[in-house]
Order: sequence, then C-alpha cells, then structure tokens
Amino acid sequence: MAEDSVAGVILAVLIPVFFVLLFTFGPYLLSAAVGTFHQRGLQKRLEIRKQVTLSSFSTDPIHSLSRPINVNHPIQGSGLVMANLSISPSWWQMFVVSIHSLFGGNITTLDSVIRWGREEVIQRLREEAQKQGWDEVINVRLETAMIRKSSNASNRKDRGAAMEYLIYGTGIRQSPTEVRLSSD
Amino acid sequence: MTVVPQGQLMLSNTETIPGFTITQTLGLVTGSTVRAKNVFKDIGAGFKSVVGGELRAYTELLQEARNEALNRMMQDALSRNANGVVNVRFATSSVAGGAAELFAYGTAVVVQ
Repeated sequence: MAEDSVAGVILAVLIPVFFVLLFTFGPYLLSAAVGTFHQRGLQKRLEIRKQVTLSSFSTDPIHSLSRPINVNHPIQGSGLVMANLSISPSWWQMFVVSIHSLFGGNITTLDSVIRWGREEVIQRLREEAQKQGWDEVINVRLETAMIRKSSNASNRKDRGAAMEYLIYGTGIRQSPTEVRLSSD
Repeated sequence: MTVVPQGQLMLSNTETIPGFTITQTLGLVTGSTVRAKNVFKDIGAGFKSVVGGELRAYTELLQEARNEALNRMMQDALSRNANGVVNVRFATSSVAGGAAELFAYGTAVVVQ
C-alpha cells in the first residue's frame, strides 16, 4: 500500500518531467541527428555535381579577373549571369552557437553548412553558365546578406537564422579560332 | 511588371562590355524593390531550418525580387536610350520586420 503510493508519487513527478524534457530538448536532438545526416548528403551530392560540370569544361570556367584568361580568342557575346541561394543552419547548430557565444572563440559547428552554401552557390553559377552556353564567366562577385536575424537562445520564437548568397559575373562566349593580336 | 526583351540591352559587371567600345556614358541607372516574406512560406522555411540547408522559398522569393529590381534598372537605362549597362552591382538590405530591399545599379552606356 505504502509502496504503491510512493511509486505513484515518483511516477507523477517523473512523467511530467519527462515530457517537459522531451519538448524542450527533443527538437534539438532530432535536429542534431536529422540535420547532420541531411547536410552530409547535400555535401556529397554537391561534390558529384561539381565533378560532372568541371569535366565538361577544360578548366574551371568562373574567375574573378576582369578580362578573359585567353585574350587571343575574339569575344562573340556576353551577358550577366546570376545565381543565388538562401541557407539556414539547423536548430541544433544555432543552439551550439548560442552556447559558444558565451565563451567566444572559433565556432566550428557552422563551418560545414557555411562552406556548403558557398560551394553550392558557386556550383549553381557554373551550371547556369553551362545552361546559357557561356564559355567563361569573368569578374565573378560573391555577396552575402543576412535575411533573418540570428536567434538568441532566450527568444524561442525565432530559432532559425538565414543568410543569402548572391553570385554574379559576366558570361562570355569566345570564338574557337585563335587570332593573334599585336602585342603591346 | 513589364519585361525588357532579351537582346535589347547588354548587361555586364565589368568596366566595358566585352567585344565593344563605349561611345557615350549616360550616368547611373538604378532599380529597387522591397519585398516582404509570405507568412505561409515563412512557416515552411521555419520547419526547414530544423535540419538546416537550403530554404528554397527564400531563394525563389529573392531571385524573383532581384529580377524585378534588375528589370527596373534596365527600363531606366532604356528610357535614356542606352544599349548597354556596365558595372552592374547588387545590394541587399533588410528593412523593418522581415522585408528586404533589393537594389541593382549600374552605368548606362551606348556601345558600338
């Protein structure tokens, strides 16, 4: 009789505590597990796409110089090429960052998603250039904008931060025949 | 949104339009647009940010808005009888409460 009531009291305390913990940390743990898996998959697929695109060009077609690498081929056409991407870190990553920001220092948690975002947007420009038929994209510029403010841990309503990458450059089409210009 | 037909204006973010020479400079042309995010798409983006990665709703929204800004810039250039815009740049700034301003600017030129 007495044992039953003790067990009942313990259960009555433990079950709510369990649910409170589940709803407080559960989403973060879920985010940690699923997010890591998801982001690894994104990175893997990106590497494959990158190899496919690069193998169709002789060299990496995009660069930030203001003139084409090979100046001896006359230019036949040009146009603006753009690509953009919005990314967000996972809740788990934001949570770890908010802990990190207490002590300062290097935040390695965000490295993977940030690096993926940059490489992905660069790859999108390559694909866009390929789709529009440009041989080379010159004067490439990369811009980053915060489109959603980063959360602070106490504000539960806004756990996600989002940033946008914009990449643009001038696509050029060159004639395959080489014309030697008088060097000056 | 009236779309500027392709081929009427040449755009470039370099100092010149490759393969052409600039004969006349017509000054700075600008185009801007302010977009607010859609509540429903925002909820979707909120769910997506549990796992991180791309927020496709935002990517599309910003792409659309940026094209609109670029288009307004091109119309500004056309109204000055330009046939090209060089040194095109973009700027993004977030205005109050989830709205973003997308801005495109460049120098209108006549090229030959």
